[in-house]
Amino acid sequence: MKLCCKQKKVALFAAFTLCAMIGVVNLAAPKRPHTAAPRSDGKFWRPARVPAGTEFVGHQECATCHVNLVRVQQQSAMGRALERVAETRILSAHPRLQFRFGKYSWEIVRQGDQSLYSVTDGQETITARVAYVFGQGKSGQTYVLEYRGNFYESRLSFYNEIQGLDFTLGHPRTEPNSLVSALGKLMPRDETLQCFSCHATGAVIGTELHLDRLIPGVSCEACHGPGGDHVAAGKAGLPNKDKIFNPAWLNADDMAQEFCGACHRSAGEIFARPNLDGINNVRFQPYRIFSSKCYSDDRRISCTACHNPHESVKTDVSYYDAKCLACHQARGESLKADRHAPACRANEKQSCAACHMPKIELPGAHFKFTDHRIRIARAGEPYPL
Amino acid sequence: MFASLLLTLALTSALAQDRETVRQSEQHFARGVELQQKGDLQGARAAYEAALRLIPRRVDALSNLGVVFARLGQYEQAIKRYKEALAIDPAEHSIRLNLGIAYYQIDRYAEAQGEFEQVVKLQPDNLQARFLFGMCLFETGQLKEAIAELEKVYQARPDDVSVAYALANAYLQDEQLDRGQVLVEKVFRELDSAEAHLILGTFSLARKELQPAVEHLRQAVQLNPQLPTAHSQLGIAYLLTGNRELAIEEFKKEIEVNPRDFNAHARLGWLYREDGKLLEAEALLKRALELRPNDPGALFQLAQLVQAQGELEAAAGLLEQVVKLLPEYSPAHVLLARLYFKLKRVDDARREQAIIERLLAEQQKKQPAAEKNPLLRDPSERVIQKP
Repeated sequence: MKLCCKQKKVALFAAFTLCAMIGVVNLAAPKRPHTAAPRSDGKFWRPARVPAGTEFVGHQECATCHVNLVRVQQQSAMGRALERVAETRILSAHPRLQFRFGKYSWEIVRQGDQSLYSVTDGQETITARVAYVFGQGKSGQTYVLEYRGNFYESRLSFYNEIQGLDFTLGHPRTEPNSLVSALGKLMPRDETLQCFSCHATGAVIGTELHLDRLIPGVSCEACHGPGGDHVAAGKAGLPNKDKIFNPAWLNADDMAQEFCGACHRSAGEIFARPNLDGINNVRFQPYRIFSSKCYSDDRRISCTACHNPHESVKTDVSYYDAKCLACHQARGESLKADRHAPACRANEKQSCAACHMPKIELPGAHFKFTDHRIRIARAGEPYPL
Repeated sequence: MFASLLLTLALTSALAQDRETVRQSEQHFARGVELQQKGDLQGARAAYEAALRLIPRRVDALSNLGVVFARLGQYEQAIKRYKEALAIDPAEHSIRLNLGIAYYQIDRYAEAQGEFEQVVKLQPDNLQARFLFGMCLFETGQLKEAIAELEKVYQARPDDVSVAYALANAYLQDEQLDRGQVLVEKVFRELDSAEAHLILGTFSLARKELQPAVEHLRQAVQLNPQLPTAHSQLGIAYLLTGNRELAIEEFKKEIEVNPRDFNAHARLGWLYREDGKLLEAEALLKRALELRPNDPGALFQLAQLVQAQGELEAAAGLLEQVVKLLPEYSPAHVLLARLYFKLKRVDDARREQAIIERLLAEQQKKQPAAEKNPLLRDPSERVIQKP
């Protein structure tokens, strides 16, 4: 019996120590989107999630057959989501941009095919090379700076509406507490990967950054996946349509939430954020449209029902009326089986989107975003999350 | 007379046989003890079983056999022996304590709690039992009650870092960060041990003080790479600071040193799922769910994985479990609505959308007034500073 007790003590001690060491920190809020991963059979492709070992042929190769499509797409907003500094139009057109706030002064100066971003507090000055230009400038343009071997997201951005600099959205609109924080925000590795994976093609492969292979902007293979097999089959005179992914194969919901939502932010991702990002979530169309009453898996509400991803977004609101009337009846029209949504009772003469998809201006964004949460919007109502 | 003689002889013979049985059983038992002391657990097991074959109701042999099974990691067998021993001698609290520990080891916290509670009632000064009772309350989510018990143990043993650690963790889970921080500073700040850095790092992590968290947790794993949960916590800290690859390495190390760590399995499964390593992710998430069968986070991750594999009905089933556990978790309702649309269960999808709408409305009420209407925000935000 003595050993019995001794053994118990050993066991108890072990348990005691074990109990003390049991971890108790819960899973913290996820940083990454909750969207599904690509299937391993190669039939599924999702932007911004390029499997390790993927090789792209580049859009020049695509242009050997699809010359017009590539030319138009390259000039679209997505096609110009990232520019090389040597090729940037805005910094070339504005060789000296300046901004002042409190004791700090900023300046972006063009020197040859480079741009230098400097900030001074009146006593000291630091200067960083603009490494990449994010955004084509329809609303604005933010800069990725290289400073002491790290990437920084510039504290200032260029805004088209004011044709000048202002604080980058998401950065505090207060006087910086140091020169380095006036420069911008240090980009952690994970964030760097996320930025480049959406704004460029082939820059992030697996979980590695390959800036040497970067194709600026959202190029053909960002959405269609690697084109090697498709090109090879085409050159061999073989059928090649099924040798490359076509997002048109996706159903409406997967397209919005998993495909376009991989970069434009899905409902699942935004719902997981504290406070759902507040009014800033107006920029995240897949999330906004999900909360619309008419959201479903119907192709008539898919992203590509209204937007041609090869072209820039059409700005004429009347263009979109026909899209609404794909489901909604026109007033006085007899009921049709495939158009069972009711006719507008308010003002049929005005464009649908003008009322039901109001434009929202974010403070400091100098741009009005179309709210994709389709709804009966009433004057003075709070912004619906 | 003859009959009486025969009876006497028979009784004498039976007694002699009983004595022989007892002697042999004792021999086996002593052999078992010797082997157990030498660490030969299989040998000890055989010896105790031999002793029990001769005398099946030996409480000491049943109890020791239970301990041997527990040390072999065969907790179900251990529980069986302890229960047999307690059926014979219900007052043997030390066996009840061991029974509780065996339950605890296989995460049957409610049953463990019952055993420890009985011991504490009868032996209020048994601090080990009270501590373990507190830990069971903690594990079953009864945080206030757990803190009450652990505080009693801590008052009696203020120098016991294990108790301080457990109490600090309970404060952490109960979001009593300030009380926890006071305790942690008092007990652990001056200690340069792996455990001290682990708790300091864990608290920094909870407070979202990520850089100090990374520093403490790095020190913890340097001082003791085998320390349970240290790699896992460091992995979480890396993940929150955007160092995904480093996080993956830490979760892998945690699983190596501590195969029972829920966080490492769940997190690594989640990351692998995102990377498209679906088979590896599936195994990890399923293991995480073995460790915590009703964890909604792990269920949600598995649902997404199953959805990616094209098993929509199964994914919907998992999500239905998630929303039962966490009715206000919007991302699960979102995914469920999407799945119902795909499964052509439009009414169910619309119901989920209505739930999401209600949750949004509730969120809207909590939203600061300035967020609701940009015109209510600080006007200085709208002032454009011209060069």
